[in-house]
Amino acid sequence: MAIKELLQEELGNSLRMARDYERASAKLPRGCLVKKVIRGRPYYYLAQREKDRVRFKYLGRQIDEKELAKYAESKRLRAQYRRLLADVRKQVRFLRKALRANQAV
Amino acid sequence: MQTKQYDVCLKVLRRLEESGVLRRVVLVGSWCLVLYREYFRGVGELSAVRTRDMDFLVPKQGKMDQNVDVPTLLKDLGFIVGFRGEQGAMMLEHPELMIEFLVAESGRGTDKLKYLPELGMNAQPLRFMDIASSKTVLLHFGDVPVTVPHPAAFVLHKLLVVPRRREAAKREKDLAAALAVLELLEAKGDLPLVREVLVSFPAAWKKTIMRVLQDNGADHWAKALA
Repeated sequence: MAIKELLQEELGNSLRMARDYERASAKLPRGCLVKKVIRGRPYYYLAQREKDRVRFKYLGRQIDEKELAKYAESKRLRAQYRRLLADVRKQVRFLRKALRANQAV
Repeated sequence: MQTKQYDVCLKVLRRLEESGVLRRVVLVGSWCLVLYREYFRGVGELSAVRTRDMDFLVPKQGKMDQNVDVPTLLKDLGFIVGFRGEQGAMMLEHPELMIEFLVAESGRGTDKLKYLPELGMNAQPLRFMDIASSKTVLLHFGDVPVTVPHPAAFVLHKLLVVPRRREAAKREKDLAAALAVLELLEAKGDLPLVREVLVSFPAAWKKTIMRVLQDNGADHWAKALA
């Protein structure tokens, strides 16, 4: 198979995938749940980045188990998507470079 | 094989196997060539030029015992749902692998995707796909048993779709894969199996296959299969 077409197809796939990972990441609930223990008592906050600042929004002394699990899962997924997105971007750079080299030959 | 891709592939196949999905579907496309290495062990080598697409055919009789939401099943491996083409064919994307489900197109054919509620996915109907599930063989990816089209069915299916391919590169790829597998089938003494599958085809399909072989300088194969 003409290698150029194969690389072109893979580049298209990687570009679409990068967009999809960005979209999936943006869909996750924003912020990270933080538990602060003050004088032995737990207090829950939602930490969110706003431009160059991190704001802590007070949520209460008790948090629903489901809510806790939701934020834990979204934190895990966000980290995973960030890592995979970095992989996809690396592929895009590699494929673009390979296609340029292919053109030069 | 690239280790990262192999690992992801193995994890996916294990999950599909544990959930009962893998027993009901047939792995089709260029990933079959990887599994054919087991079939042709001691006969010859197959070099598998493949993309990241991993396609599974859901045969008509492939009813699931229970519903399995495949996107949820693979979510924690990092797979996300993406959509391809104007119709919005669903695919599960990962930097190493892209998974899609297919069904055989029947009747006059349609552009409409088929929703598979038992898998939580939609599937693209493709012409001639039932050939891939008409004669299958169970091979292994690592320790996972995977049903793939018998190499004889694979060859004939590829030859049949060559003229329908719009892109020259894909035509070339299909033809090269078909001829490589055909050579190994002959070396293994399995050409009668190819003829056996071919005999069951309608006359128009046979004619197309013979024409593809003759037009591409493979007359000897056309004669061998006639």
